[in-house]
Amino acid sequence: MPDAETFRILFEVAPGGLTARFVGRLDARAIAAHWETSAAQLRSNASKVFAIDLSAVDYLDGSGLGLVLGLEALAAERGAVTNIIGASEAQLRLMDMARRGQDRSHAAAQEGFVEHIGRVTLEIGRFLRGFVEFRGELLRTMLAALRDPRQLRWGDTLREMSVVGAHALPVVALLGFLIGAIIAFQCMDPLAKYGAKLQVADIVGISIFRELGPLITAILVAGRSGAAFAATIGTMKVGQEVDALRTFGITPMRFLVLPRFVACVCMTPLLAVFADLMGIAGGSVIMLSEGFSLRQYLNEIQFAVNASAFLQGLVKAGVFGALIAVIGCQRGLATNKEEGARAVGSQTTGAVVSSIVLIVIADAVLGAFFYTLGI
Amino acid sequence: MAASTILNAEPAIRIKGVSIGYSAKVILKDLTLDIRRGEIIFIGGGSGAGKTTLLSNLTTLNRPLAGEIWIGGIDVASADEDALQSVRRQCGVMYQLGALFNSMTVLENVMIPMEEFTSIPFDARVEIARAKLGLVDLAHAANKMPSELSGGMQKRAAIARALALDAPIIFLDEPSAGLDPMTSADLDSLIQTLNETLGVTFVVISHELASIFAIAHRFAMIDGKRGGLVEVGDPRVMRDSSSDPLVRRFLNRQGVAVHAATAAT
Repeated sequence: MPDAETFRILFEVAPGGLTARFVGRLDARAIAAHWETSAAQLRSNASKVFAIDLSAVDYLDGSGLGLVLGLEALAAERGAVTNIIGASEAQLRLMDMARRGQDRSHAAAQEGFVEHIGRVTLEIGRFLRGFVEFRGELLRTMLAALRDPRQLRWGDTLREMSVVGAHALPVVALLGFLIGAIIAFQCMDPLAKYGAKLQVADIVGISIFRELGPLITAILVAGRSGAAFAATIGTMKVGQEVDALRTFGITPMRFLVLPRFVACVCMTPLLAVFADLMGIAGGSVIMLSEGFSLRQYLNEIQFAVNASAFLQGLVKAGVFGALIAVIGCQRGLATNKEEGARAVGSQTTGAVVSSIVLIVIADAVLGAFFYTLGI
Repeated sequence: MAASTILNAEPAIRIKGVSIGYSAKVILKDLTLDIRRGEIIFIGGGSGAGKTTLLSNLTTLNRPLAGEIWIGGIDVASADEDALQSVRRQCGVMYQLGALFNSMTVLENVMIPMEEFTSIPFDARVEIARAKLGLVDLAHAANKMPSELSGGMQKRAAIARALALDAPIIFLDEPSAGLDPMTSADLDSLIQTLNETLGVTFVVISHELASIFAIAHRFAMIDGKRGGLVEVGDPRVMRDSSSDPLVRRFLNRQGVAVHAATAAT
């Protein structure tokens, strides 16, 4: 490219002040090559008068303007006055336009420590308030729907059920099956040392029914549906669809949240049952390969897992489902429409992460609760 | 610098026998139009005439079904991705809704193309971006987020971003849609000034009659139902003496004369 070479800046130091004579084509390429040297030249000169001579410039574009005005600003920082000489009328007009409203005070007020604590405290307070308000409103909407079932949008609810539930079957099946097989496989050796190979079935049964079935299912639902809830509602928020609903007098709670909530609470336990069965099937593969019969394996499981363990799993899954729906929808509705696409992304991530954390915490709390009750 | 002195024979964009549309549906057939260097040309037509689809072809987002579109010596209808990339650097685009990146400040929005395509040092990039924001009278909002700007300001910021690489051709999609007449007139005079002082070619997709009569050197009317280009020329001449009734009706809507007069003053 010849352009960069065809542009030169000739500095002339005279008693009257410093003059920069620009020669040639002043565009972005010229700036890339000359910015550092010309800024350094200007900084090293102490004179209070600086002149930029444009009479030998044969082309000046918007970027070239940046160089002229940038040097002018640099000179002003040092208290020097800049004279532009030899500019055409059009160039002067452009410069006047570009100088409008320039404010170089970088008053990006740094937040102090106390201020930071205050802001974070307020944010936490706002979040907790939103959390309580959201659940309160959801409860009220649910009670209204119980009194008048037409309040629930059945079409949407069934559609959500199919997305949350039926569409998740293959992946739940795969994970359940593999987890069952892995547990059986990993327990086989240690228990074989005690001659208790058959008790591998107990471990598979108890761990799958009580814990892993519901937990794995919930984590999958959080990743699939919780994220989808947050992203869908968040995008609707950004596109002002949620505002449109409100102005029609339709509450987003009834229109968007309730169908998803009902779908999640109903489908997560069903998926968990499916994950349980697939887990047992996975374990059976390992047990059969160790020479046990299917009858032996199932009998052992029946002996180890009572109805209450199964029901515990179901209750857990229901609670997990409720958590996923509430967090996903709340995150979606909390999307800041001014921040656009980025806010949708961060709310979706937030929905999945906080769902999973809360699912595990709820699992621990429910486990302790059932244990204390002696179930 | 009068616009006529910038105009020369070599067109900025040469559209030759172009048909555009989506696989099965042809929207514009056999469109031929030369866009001259340094002119402000408005492309208009009724809703659904194919304006936005044409723009997406001119800005290399889609390829035409047939024909050639020459920009800077490259036929974008048949060029490979590398060639298209060099065409894209010669074109700036302002989208209808601004399409600013919401997570960056206005200044950062303008700096993005320079960051990607030039080796200009950071300080100089800031100065250039500031100068360009000054050109659209938004320097005072440099450190604001796009969401803090009004609709008109967002469009101006988008123009500053389109100017970032000093592209010789700038496409504007419905610049005055959703703006009040005063803001819209300000935007028109900005386009005119940039055209006169920097010699930028403006291709404006719009059916805003006030803007057309105020700043357009030429107006091209397209209509999908009639095939492609209906007529192109000086909008005033077309309004008064076009032989095509559709063109005359389009440019002669009631109250137009009043709007045009106010926009011109």
